[in-house]
Amino acid sequence: MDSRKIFIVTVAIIAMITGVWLSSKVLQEPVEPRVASILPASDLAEFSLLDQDGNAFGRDDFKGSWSLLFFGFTHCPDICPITLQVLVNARREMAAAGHDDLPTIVLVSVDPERDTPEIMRQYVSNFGSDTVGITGSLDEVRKLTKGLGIYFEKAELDGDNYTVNHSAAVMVLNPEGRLQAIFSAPHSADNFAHDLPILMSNL
Amino acid sequence: MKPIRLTLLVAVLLAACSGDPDPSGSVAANLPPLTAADVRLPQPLSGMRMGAGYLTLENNSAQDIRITHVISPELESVEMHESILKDGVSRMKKLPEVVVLAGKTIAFEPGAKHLMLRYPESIPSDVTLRFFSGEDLLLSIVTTVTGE
Repeated sequence: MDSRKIFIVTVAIIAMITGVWLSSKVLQEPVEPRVASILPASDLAEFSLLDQDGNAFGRDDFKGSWSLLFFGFTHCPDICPITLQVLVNARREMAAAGHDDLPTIVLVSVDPERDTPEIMRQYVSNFGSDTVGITGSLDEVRKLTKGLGIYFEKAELDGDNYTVNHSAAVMVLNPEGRLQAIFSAPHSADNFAHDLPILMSNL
Repeated sequence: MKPIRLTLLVAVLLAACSGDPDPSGSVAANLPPLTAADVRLPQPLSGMRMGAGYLTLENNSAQDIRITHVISPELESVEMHESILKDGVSRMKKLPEVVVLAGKTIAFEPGAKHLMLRYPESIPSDVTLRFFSGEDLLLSIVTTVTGE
């Protein structure tokens, strides 16, 4: 073999090794969440609320599955149903992509004055059987929201009508019932469907 | 020459039918000053009586149009609202009026300006929406409540 051929073979081998090394490097690169802020896991405060069937619901009831907590109210005709539908669509996208471990969607009422368990039952039934609605006394709702940094406040509209301004973030709880991540608004189903499997497989 | 004469005659007749220039200052000939498009009234969620309404309003005139209120004979109330997301907080405010600028459109859409509708216990299949400026009726439309 002349020196020219040796040179070409050497270059080809180096290129092949470099290519294999680079591709393995890229494949090993961890996929990062697009929008979710991952937090050191932290416990929720103790609280005592009711689910949509009137059963007691406390922080231990979040244990056993991943949960997506959204804070809203049933008299909200725009943002709240839009956000819940985004979460439902994200679950569907995850299921379609072959994920078995799907998060539970939980609506926490920030308007417990109007949102009785019966009204919550009717409301969350619009978003599938895997959606939970919890409500109760204002003090108990505040125990939960305060620990999570969730803001809400009643705002008069006119007469005796009112709305509730509230944080639009979605909180992610891990199967130990601990706060693990936050999705800030505006929300998209694609972002949840992209980020949640990463969170759920890496933590 | 006959076809040309005929064409001219038709043009003259159309011009005569259109009458004087629109006293409202319409930009688009033969259109009322305010028109609506893409009207959507998703059915309220099961068990709920609050719903949202979405549409695009177009001002076809040369003057700004001020909408002060909306009335529906089939609904308990209609209000113009706006959802605002600021600093991570979702707020909803009632709009005392909405101004559609001359020749422009304004959209009522999810997560932004929208109509907040309070339905009676029995949800009607069709809803009339009447847009007013003070006592002046600007626009009346009938639309179907959809099953979305």
